[in-house]
Amino acid sequence: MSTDSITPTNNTQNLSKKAQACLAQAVEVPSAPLYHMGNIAAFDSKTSFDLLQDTINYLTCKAKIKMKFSQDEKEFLIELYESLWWGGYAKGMPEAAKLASHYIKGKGEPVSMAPKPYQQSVVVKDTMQAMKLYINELAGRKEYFFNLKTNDPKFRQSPHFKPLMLINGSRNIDTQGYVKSDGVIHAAQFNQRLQKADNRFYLEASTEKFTKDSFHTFWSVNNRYDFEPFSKSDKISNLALSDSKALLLPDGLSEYMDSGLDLAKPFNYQARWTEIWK
Amino acid sequence: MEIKTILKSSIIVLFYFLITACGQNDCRFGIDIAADQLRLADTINDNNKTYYLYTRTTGWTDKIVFFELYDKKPEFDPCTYQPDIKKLYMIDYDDFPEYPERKYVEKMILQPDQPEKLKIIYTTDKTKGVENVYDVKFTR
Repeated sequence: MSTDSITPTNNTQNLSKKAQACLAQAVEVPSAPLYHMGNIAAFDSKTSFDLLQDTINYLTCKAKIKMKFSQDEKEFLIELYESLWWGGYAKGMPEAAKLASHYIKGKGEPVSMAPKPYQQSVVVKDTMQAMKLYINELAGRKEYFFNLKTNDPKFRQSPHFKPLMLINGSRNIDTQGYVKSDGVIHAAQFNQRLQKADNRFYLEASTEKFTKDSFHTFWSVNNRYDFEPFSKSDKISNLALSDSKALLLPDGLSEYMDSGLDLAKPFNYQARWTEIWK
Repeated sequence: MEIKTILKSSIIVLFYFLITACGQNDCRFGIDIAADQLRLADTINDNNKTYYLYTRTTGWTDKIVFFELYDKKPEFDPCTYQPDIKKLYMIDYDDFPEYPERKYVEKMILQPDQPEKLKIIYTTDKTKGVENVYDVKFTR
């Protein structure tokens, strides 16, 4: 007998064993996850916490072997994401909340994001300043300056780029943020509003001459909202609900909401703002 | 169907009051839509001193893993996830998806007397590096 004929049978058997193992963990999916999340946040309820975490673990197990989800299970995941919207807005992270909501409601359509978190960010301000100095130099030399992105090789070789980089503690990761050698901007980690909405990104500048001595720049950040599948990483999100209780939500399960369940869709997002400067 | 909608709306309103009652600076749901995750990766003795290597994973959809180095065992605040002592060094794990090839940590070298206290050597060869960043240890 050839190995070709053995493998599918073995695979089916393995899958069947895994499915049985998942079903052994089966829990009654709570119909109101929002209520239980509130119960944990306000009263530190262990019962509610165990119920939600057991359900997430069960659904994760099913997602990993691509088992079908019931309607209740799908609704549970949707409500989990809706709760992120409520939580994010209530606690001052409207951009992260909006993006999480768009993941389940936006049908993959591109969405615009308020530029404020970027405009207020130390590392973005520093990068804008460095790019303006560089653009000014290019214009002075009558070289092309109309479109510039932080990953531009010549910009990265310019002296204006070096102060943006993290070289043995030259910048504070928590309070300032920094730019990697390939031009990716890392948000300051204490800037929770930006860090949760967009942890790392490129900055782009489209510039034209405004007057003889001034420029008009359209600044933009273009990024994609998606999650890594189980096969790529085992990263999880830590949804802190009380001082001692945080739900662990695997990124792979969030990704499976798109690839396996058609409940969510990745999308592109953009933030834009303009500036006239000399 | 209508009853279900009313019930759901009531739960949402109740949930909203429950979480907003905590306040923006409270250590409750929402302030950390995805709170930092900390893991002790390894410890090592060097010149009669114990060094602690932690991973800190931050962000929501795009997560960054940082390596943090301490020369005492830190306690982390349950709300902010910040340590009670100053970290010696912090550096990110270079795994940005747009890199042409995925990189793995081949060596994690402790050099406490250098400005670069953690020297990380990467490889694109999966067999030489550590595939899962959370399994990275000090090179001995």
